[in-house]
Amino acid sequence: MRHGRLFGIETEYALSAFDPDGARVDGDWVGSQIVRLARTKRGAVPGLQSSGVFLANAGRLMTDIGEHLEACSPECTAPGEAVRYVLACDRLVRELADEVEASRPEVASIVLGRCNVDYAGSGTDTWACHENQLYRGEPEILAREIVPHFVSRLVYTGAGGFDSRSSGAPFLLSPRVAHLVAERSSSSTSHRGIFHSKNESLAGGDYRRLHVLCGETSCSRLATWLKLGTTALVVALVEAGLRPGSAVRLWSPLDAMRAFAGDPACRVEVALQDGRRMSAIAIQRHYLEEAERSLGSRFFPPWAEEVCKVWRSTLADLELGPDAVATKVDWAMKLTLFRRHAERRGFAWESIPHWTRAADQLADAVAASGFSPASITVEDALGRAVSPVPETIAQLRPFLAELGLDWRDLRKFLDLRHQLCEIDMRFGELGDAGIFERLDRAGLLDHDAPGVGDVAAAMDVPPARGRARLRGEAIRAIGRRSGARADWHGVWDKRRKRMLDLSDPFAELVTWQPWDGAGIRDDDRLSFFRNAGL
Amino acid sequence: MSTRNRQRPWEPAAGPGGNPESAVTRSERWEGAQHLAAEADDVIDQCLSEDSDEHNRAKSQRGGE
Repeated sequence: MRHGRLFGIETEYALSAFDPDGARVDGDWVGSQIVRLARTKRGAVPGLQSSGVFLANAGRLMTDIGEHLEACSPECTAPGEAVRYVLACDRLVRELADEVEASRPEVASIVLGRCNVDYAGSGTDTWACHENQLYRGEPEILAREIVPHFVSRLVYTGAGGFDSRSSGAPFLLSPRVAHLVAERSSSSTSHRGIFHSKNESLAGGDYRRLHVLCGETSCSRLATWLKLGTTALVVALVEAGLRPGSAVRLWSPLDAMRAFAGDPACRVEVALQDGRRMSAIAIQRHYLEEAERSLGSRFFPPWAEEVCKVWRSTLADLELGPDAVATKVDWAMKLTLFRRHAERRGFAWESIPHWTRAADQLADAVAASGFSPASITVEDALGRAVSPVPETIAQLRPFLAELGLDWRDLRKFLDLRHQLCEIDMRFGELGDAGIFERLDRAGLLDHDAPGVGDVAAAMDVPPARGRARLRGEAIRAIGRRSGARADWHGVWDKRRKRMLDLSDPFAELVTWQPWDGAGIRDDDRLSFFRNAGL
Repeated sequence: MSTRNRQRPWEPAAGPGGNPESAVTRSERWEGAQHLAAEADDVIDQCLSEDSDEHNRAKSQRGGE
């Protein structure tokens, strides 16, 4: 166990709630009601220093800025187990939302989405899916060795969608890439980087926590499984002193990631520091071969061989093109749906980039003209009366004509764009209404992953190993008592004046220690219940 | 989320493939994509709002993180 891996996922859910008349209900309040029910119905325990509650399955549920809920899986030791807890958190959140709908007459419906970008807001709003991987070692070395992996793994981890900053519909394998602006960064809310340098281990000793913020929420079990499994193996290689990224250092990681994200064929090649050019699949094959060379090593987990097998098979499928993974990974599922929908609306998929160029140039021109884009209709801009941007119209007209496109279809294209964005937003909705859930129920998808197991049980039962088991069992034992608190590194029992130290992430023995109440104030309970709406 | 009766990606190939490491053939994969596209039409039609722009605005938020 000492050489095992520990990892987990934080999922942000977009939350929208409506009253019986269809008016919007405050999302922060609805989120607090869901957290409150986790406490009263599921025996969750308030955090000691963290906001929200810790669940009986050892995960965490909280409301966060921007009217969204966030669920964190417990620390897991295998990718199948981690997928199980991600799905358990999804199901738990949906069930709690259903209970709020049933018990609160002022709330008629709650929509919870696993979407990654918001198409109707400022264009810069995103919902995150952060991964955490425990490791030992120097962050600088890990960053250098793992960045090419993060850049290229999007060929199977990408959620698929559009660049939300565009007025058109530029498809991206990973829409979050449009919101990354640096190779490294310490911020998760602005100036986001491919490698997040925040060091907050949430554990004792010399452990560190790799906090990955360039990933996305996937509905495909296979994508989530591979995301965690392959990354854990790369971390293990680096921790063991190997240098798996040294032969594939990228000349410009951010440019490379953007190039890969914009190429559904997965053929584009980017520059390496040594002058060669490689595709995302080739870089992934390099990491895979580095991992395969270490199979059987003591520093590798027992599931390493299985990960390598699925990793190899998936890369082989990707080389056949998007159709070969259309039922397996999120971006290719969505691409299939988007393409089909566009064609049914009379637009060849190949015309979408041209329309996107025209729409973006028109929007830029309107903005530069001093008019608010929101105050001008497409018809105004195109100048049925007097266009505010006649030069742009004149400039783009021959471009479109050469492609057999007509300005008169711009309104139709923008309607299509809204529909494509709605499909993306509805794709990951939790519950029976979600597009992914419907397609899956119909047996159209093929995204299963090994070792997922009993999702229903994982809603209330912690993982079988490590400190997550101890945390979950302690919460189940004392969670309904007043004065109980929990956090990633411990559980506190105020009534019996004792605490369970979980600073060792691989702890297996329950060792309650005397505790004098330090770190918890009498008004904590009051403030928690007030915040939770109780 | 049922995934019954499907090819498990970690199991050996069921037949000859266009790529020897791929689990199934290119034509089988292509058929899977075409099947998904065709069968998804009804799902998409049932899910889409009459006014997608309005739907997207209604669901718009301040964003997470």
